[in-house]
Amino acid sequence: MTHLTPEDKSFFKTNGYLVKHNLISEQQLANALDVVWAHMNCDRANPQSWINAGPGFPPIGKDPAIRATLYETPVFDMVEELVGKNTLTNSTNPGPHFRFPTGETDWELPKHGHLDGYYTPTNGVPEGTVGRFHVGVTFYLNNVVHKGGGFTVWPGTHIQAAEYFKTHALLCFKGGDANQTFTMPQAVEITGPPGTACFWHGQLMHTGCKNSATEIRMAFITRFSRKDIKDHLFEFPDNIWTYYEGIQ
Amino acid sequence: MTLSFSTTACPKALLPEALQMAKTAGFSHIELFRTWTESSPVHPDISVRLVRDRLKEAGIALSGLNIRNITGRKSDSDERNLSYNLRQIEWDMLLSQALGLKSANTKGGAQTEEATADLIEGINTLLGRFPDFTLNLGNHHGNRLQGLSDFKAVMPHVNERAKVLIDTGHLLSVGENVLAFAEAFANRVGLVHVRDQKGETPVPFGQGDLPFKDLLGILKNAGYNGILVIELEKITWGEPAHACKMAREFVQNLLAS
Repeated sequence: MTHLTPEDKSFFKTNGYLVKHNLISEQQLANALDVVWAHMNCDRANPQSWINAGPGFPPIGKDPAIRATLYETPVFDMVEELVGKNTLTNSTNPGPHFRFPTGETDWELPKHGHLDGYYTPTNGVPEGTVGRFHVGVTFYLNNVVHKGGGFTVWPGTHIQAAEYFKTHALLCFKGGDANQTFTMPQAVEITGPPGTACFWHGQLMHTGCKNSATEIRMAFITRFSRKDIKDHLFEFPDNIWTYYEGIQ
Repeated sequence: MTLSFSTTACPKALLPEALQMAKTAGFSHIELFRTWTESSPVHPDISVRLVRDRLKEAGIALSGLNIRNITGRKSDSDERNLSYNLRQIEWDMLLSQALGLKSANTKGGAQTEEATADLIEGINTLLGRFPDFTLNLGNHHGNRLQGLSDFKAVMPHVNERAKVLIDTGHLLSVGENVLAFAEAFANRVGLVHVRDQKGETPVPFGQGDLPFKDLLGILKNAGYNGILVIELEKITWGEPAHACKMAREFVQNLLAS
């Protein structure tokens, strides 16, 4: 059984991302939310306490209820449909990336994004290396509304990246900042109800919005690499979909 | 033995220019540096794919890549963190593989017991992860691997695919006996960087303290048939390409005699 239509794949191919809704059952969401709230420094019943609370990255990715949102739902299968059956490592845990309400009302779309995998002094990526992956998945456990800290992407920048890296070193963007090099189109803010997932190409420019709404943005990000990534870590073939068996 | 051009002769040259110099000086092989020279395969304005293309266009083979050192420490904070450092070296080894190499050249960290332990563990861990790969461990002035005693403390404890890179310039710089060093590890030599010096100053080949003939004799007797990198640096005695040509011919004549 397949989950993605040819239209879905075509959209991903052109834009570098794809949004699908209702991928996680109510029970799975409830189980995951219980784990989340057990690690929050604020009161589940008191939204006022959520403003600028934390933590943004609680260490809960290994929890079975959190992993289930990825591996016991269609999410992982969908990534495989893009990259290829049995080609991916499935040991990756979802990483929480929570954005708390700021209590402010002003808001605008972010002007700058970044590529993932680049060193910063605090992100754990070793200096002088770049990590690559094929598909990232950002999924929401709660309702993420407009201005609510949504994941934000710059459509088509994955194609610019693929072209650029044919003639430039992977390391050439400090901190993954390609904003001055790529032609940045209008950013797209990803919103949706609980169970919404955004699938995005590993070299798509992205970031997160400011949260000027009232709910915590409960997003989990997972980056999937092919098992054979080390064989083509530095490769940028003319066909940028060479390592995506589902998109040819 | 095959002679290879070292980009130490032209540290500011981009890869096409360095390849041109190697060609002009009559070399068929070149060795690159991950850091230090502008011909690095991680220079912002070149990709791995382009490096391969440029080499092919020039008709010059890549003989080796000098990667970062196994220091056991984080490069940005100097905090001891071997696994972080190994992730850097592993990335460099993958870079080497992407360039078609089955080996890379590295060194150690500071001259401490801690750095020795991290170097040994690091080498064994990396070679365990890369089953078809060789690491050439080079001596360097001021490094954990500086002289004979340092290598004697490390080599018995590391995977046999860890080889010795004899760097004659750095041995001469610290007053080490080059021949004793070569004799001690003759059967484990993976690579030789040849530089002649008067004290610490590079000089034209044959005019310094390096006992070329005896060194080549030791290598020949040990059955070494690998790469000799002709490593000129801070060339003050002439036009660099010509100086490299002269150095190549000097060694070639010795090998033929």
